[in-house]
Amino acid sequence: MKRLAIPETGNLARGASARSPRRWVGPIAVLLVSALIATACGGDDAATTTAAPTTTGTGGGLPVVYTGADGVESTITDAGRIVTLSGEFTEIVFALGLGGNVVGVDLSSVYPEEAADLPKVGVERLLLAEPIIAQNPTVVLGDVDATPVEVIDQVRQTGIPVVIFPRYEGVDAPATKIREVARVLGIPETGEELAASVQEEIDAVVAATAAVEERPPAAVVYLANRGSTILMLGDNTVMEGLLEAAGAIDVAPAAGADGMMPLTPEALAGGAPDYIITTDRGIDATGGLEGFLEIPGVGETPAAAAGNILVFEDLYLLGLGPRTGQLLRDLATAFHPDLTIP
Amino acid sequence: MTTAPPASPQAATAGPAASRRMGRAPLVALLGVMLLAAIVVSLGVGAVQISPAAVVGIILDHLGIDSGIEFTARQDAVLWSIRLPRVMLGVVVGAGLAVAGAALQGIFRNPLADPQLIGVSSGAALGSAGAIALAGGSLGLLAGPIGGFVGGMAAGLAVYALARHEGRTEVVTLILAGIAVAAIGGAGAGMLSFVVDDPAIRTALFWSLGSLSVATWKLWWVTLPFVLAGLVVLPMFARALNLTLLGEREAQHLGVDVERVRMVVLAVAVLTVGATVAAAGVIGFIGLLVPHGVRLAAGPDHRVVLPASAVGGAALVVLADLAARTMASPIDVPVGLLTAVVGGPLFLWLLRRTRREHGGWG
Repeated sequence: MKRLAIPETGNLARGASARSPRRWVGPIAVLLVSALIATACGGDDAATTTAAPTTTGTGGGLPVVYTGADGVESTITDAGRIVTLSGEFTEIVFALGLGGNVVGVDLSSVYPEEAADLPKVGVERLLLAEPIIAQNPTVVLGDVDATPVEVIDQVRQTGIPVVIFPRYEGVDAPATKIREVARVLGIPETGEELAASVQEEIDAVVAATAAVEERPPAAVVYLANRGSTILMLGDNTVMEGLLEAAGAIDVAPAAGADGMMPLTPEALAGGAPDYIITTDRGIDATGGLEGFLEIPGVGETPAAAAGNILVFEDLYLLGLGPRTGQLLRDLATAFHPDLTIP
Repeated sequence: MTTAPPASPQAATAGPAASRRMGRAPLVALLGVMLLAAIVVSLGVGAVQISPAAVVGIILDHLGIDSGIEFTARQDAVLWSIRLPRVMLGVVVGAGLAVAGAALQGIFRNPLADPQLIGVSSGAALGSAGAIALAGGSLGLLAGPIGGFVGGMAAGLAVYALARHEGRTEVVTLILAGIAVAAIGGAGAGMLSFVVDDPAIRTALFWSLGSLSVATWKLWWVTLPFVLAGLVVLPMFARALNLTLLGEREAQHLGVDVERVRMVVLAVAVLTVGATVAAAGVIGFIGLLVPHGVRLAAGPDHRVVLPASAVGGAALVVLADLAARTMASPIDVPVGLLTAVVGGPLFLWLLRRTRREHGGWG
């Protein structure tokens, strides 16, 4: 995910609100998918519950040697004390059943709820070495946004392996990421199981939407800096290919959006999406849905006129984690209410 | 020095206030004790518990002395590879910024000439970021300070040229030109970190508000010689700067080659500032706060102001960084935010005072 390009203040805001997550309750009758998620995540057939029970310190697959996206080779000998530097990895580690081994998380780790109560070690891009080291981890998981890189080096100098994953994009990313994390933690079989079941959910949606003919134009909008910066997530972001997989047309390429570059209001309005998908933290920051609809460019879209604003929890929408299958199902159902997905 | 009443510096030093002023030795000693205290406290505080005894034991151990004090390998790594280089970088950056600020105020005869306020820091940030992007591969860590010097010098000369009018430097124009140049430099550095997808360029936040979180011994060694140049060379011009206070023509008559002094001091000050910016981003107001504090205590004599500012600046940055890394732990608060909280109001006060002395900006 090209989060490097988000203006830094956006990240600060993200950290601050992560500490006290609020759920937005809006007055306008709009499809608020957050509620839907809450029930879906209760967990009947959800991927999150399929993993192995828990928590032995070292899985059978250790030690593992992993060459990170930064070119640094790490040797992981013990997964007994895990620190995660990004919410997406926290979610995956918990889904793999190793939640009990997590001893510290970053401020974006808002899911699952147990993770939110763990000691906080920092926020991506404003990391400090000592809070990470103080948790005495045996392995630290992050991605290329875990910076400054000097801080990562400082942690490594104390003998703690820090695994830096690359950015993964596209509908295959969740399974790939799960496999890689599981391999690093020495539980490749568990990872394979979870990855397969997540992929199955994703494939089911993709298969169901493949035949759909009428594809509504849709846009994923991410608000940074309290709504003053609008980002449209399309190609070269975590959302690449997801809207298509859910049976919509991503308006981002036509609107000229590439990666995580800020967008002009005209570009959003000009894309004329029938659906706008965004995150609850962004909505919170603009003072609720009314504030969101007042953002220049948003109010002028067909999506706003029809009330088709889909709001998801940040990590659920952008985490590309074990819940991606459910996300695609939510999206496909919103775009095509009559569609049956097995 | 324009902080002194326009009359003459002799009057300022011989006036009734003189008796209350501190001499150079006691002031530098006092600030030195403060600096030492700041370093000791900083070394003892952090997310990883290290007792004061262990701090001493680890340092002695690295000096080859076995003290018999017990500490763990991890405590050793945290203190020696993380905390100590960070504190020592704070010392170097603070000393450099403060001494450069004092010297710039001297050559521009302008109490508001802070490296950040006159655009030199932002120019250095742009130069640093650009050099790291273009030549980071071939020059390594040296790319930062060299680029910082080039960018800072370009900014400094541009501001100076803009502020010169009929043989004198206009106080307000200097600041206004500084704002414009700072905006250009800051925007350029921000733009670079925005479009170049390389963590070595660092973030726009780093360039605009500074941080000591990237401190390593290597970075410290790269920064040190540039700052030492400022700490050694700038005080050599203390007498010339004192004479310049009398007025440019007067100094000229007394044998000071004003234009040459101005260029050399500017270049050395920018060299110093450029290296601090490359290492720690733009930490504002240090070059304003510290020299003014020193002048309040000891008067405008550059033979006191320059060395005392260096020691005081080091202490201030070490303390500010201690707050930056602990107040919102585990978040690293940009240290420039903290210095601006104190520096901003001081700047306003100085602005008012300077305006009064000049009888309005006109």
